[in-house]
Amino acid sequence: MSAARWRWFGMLTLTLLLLPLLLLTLVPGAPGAVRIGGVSLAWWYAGLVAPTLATVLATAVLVRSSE
Amino acid sequence: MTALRGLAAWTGPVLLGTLTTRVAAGAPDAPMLVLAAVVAPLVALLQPRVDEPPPHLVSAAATGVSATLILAASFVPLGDVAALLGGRRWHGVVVAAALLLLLALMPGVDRWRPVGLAVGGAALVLGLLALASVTALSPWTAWRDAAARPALVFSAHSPWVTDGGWFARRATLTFGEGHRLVAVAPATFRVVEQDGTGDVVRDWRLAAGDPLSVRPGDRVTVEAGTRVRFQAGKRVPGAAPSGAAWADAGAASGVGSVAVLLTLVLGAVGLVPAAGRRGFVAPATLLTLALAAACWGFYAVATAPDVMLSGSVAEPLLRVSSAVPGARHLAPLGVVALVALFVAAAGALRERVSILTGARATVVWLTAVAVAAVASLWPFDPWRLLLAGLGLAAATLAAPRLAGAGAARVGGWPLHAIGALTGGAVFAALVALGPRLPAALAFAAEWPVVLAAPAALLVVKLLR
Repeated sequence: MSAARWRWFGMLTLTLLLLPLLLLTLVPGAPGAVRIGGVSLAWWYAGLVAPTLATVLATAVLVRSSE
Repeated sequence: MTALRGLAAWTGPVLLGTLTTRVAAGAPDAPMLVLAAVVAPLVALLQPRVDEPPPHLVSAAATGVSATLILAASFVPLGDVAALLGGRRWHGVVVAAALLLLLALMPGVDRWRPVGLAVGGAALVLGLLALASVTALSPWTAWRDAAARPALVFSAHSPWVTDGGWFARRATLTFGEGHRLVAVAPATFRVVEQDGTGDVVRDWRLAAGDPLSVRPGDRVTVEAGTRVRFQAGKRVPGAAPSGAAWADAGAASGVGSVAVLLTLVLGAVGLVPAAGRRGFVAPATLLTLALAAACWGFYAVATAPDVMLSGSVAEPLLRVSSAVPGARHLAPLGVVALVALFVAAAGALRERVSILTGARATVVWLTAVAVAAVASLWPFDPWRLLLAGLGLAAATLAAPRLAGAGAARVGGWPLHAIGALTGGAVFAALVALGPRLPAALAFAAEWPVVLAAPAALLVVKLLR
């Protein structure tokens, strides 16, 4: 895959990382408010899981596209 | 432009300050904003690297207006800092403008912009680590403690209780329980009392030390610069009634959330340049700064939920430390963080403007600084100003680029300029028509980027 294609793939995947949170905050019944270890699911996702995944993914794509 | 230098335009004081205050206020969209603050610029860093088309007047003007709006937003927290420290708003704005003018006239200063970002980021993180150490709370424990608070009340150590705090801007406070305010300096308070079926409005002119008693349901309007002391242990007006209510903030608006995401992601693409071969540090830096800003919000609610009372995005960074015993000496770190991030962001904006304006770059930049500084003296909401600047960048710069305008020309005109003109015209028309738009398009008046960016994208695609 060319460097440009890797970058487009990265952009699309990063954007998709926003969707679960959008669903968690918009779906009736507030599933994002469910507590896991005392902290809400929305905050686990938005404050830890998704940002970390996004950072790792962006770094990997930058490394891959610069080779 | 290295990735870190370009990223500095994103991590300005308004974005990070807004993250902190939205988290502290328990806004329904706070988790989304924190995630978008990380993801949006990462999308921009990953955009394919293409040769920049030759500058054109339309793109240069769009960049100049976007940069001026974002710069004006960035001046606001610095004006607030001056007001929160007891000075006048214009003191902070003038000092900040003078700093930018000085830096604009110093040769070779651009090389040092990452230093500004590093200093601002380090101050933000150091302050956070110190708070964690003094309170013995990790960020997730702080969140849990905040969510378990039976009521969000004034801390006995809060500056609003001990010395009296300044309001950075005009504010209306709604009291859920009886309260006794004390004017620290002479000021006028407008109190709207509920009396049977109607409201009774009373203006109270208080001298220094005079008390003002309010009843549950009263609304008190205070002018910018007013200095007031509140009672310890009383509920903070305007804050969530309890920790549980703060934690379960409710559902965010669907259209609003999508529009903010679109504005942030496309605005970042317009503003932050693609990362080069050595751009690996930028994603980690971004993650650290955005999460640090969010964590400041957690500590604010856990220790001093009154720190967003003044309505300024700068307040939590200035006052959380002051409200925590053992951390008072850290308060200057907040000022250092805000000023350093402001300088770094302004430098990155200047570079974007300079690329497109060539030999007249310095004149254009100094004009932008002057206009932005004057505009910031009006009591604008800095977050709305930032979104306006990002929205315009999204419609005029990002959309044509993502549509693949490149260096193509149509009828002698560069395609990217035609796209920018279309996006800019639709954006301006929606803003101008605003209230006259039909109800079905009301969302477009509030979020013009929702129609302006697709319009620019479509025109470029059709003409390619």
